[in-house]
Amino acid sequence: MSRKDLNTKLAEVEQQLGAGGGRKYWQCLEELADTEAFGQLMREEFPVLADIWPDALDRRKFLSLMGASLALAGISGCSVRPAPEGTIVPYVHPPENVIPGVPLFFATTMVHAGDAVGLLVESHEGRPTKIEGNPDHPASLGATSAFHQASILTPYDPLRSQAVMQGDRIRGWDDA
Amino acid sequence: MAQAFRRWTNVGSKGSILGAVLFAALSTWVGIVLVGSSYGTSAGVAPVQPIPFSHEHHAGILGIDCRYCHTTVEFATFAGMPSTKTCMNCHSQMWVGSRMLAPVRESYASDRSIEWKRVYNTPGFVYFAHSIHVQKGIGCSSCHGQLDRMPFTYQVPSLLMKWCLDCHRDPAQSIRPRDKVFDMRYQPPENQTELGRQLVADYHIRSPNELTSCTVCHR
Repeated sequence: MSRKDLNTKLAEVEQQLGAGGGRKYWQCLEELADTEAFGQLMREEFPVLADIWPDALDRRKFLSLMGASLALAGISGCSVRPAPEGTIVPYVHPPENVIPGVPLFFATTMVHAGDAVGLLVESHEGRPTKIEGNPDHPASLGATSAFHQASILTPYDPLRSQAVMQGDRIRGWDDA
Repeated sequence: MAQAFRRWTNVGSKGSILGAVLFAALSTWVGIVLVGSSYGTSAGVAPVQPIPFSHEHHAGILGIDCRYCHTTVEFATFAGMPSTKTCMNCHSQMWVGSRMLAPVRESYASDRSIEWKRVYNTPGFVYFAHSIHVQKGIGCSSCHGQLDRMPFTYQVPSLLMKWCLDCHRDPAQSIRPRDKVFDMRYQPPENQTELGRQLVADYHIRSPNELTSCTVCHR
């Protein structure tokens, strides 16, 4: 259907909006959608959607279905067994100083805007999670700026090198 | 015109009211029984582990201290599971060719962890820390039972909230001297109530009011 055709067809539908004179007024779009002209337009313009156009699903049915699905959604959270089975996966060679569940803090410095600031990085099982100032650092005395705080995101930058590189070649820590 | 309701509907309506009440009572009872059953709590069920590890053999007969494997029990929420390296400390010397221990050697060689089945599990909304219990004189065997006589490890208590509260309401009944915490054969003395009260005072254990506050466990 060309653009022009669509406009004339729509005009027919639009005409219906103003057609009801006197005490008969147009109340909602659903009423409009029930007309044969709209059905015809729907089938021609969106043949894929015409089949699933909810003819049979009125508001009352829709609300009751939604209500039922919301009510039943809670049931999926219920279980006779509050704690389902799980596995424990210990280290093969435990890294030094790492206690599962206890954060480990690393002291480091970060150069930003020509200034080096002492930082403490909180790490959970080898994963850095939070950066705060190092109170023992003589210059900053534990202060940080928004840039230092936000730098926690840089280890997770997908553009960051995933391996130890030398030039454009992957090397080990010992070679580099 | 015939009557809309026959005479038997009198009995039927009374019967259905009674039936509804009975049905509600029955389903409540079934629910309570199911939640407290060993199916609901997993108590007394020994999951099949990748290696048939025996606490009876290691902790009981050989007398290895709990903390040799569960290293973080004194200062972390998680008691800690032994790394494959810990197993191999001994098993690179003894039972080297044992078929039962093949998964341990395989894990050590391939650097892939052994996946143990969890025996004691609490839901995500429960905070439990081993460290505080151990530090305040709750023995391993108080919750884990006689592990030194357990060939296969199973969950002893129900781990239901009422089980936690039993002790939080009256810790004096379960507390023992700190140096007996890892003693698997410890039996409470005759004067437990007296000793318990003394230890509760000595270890600065909070009042039952504070211990049973919701946020102690549900943080």
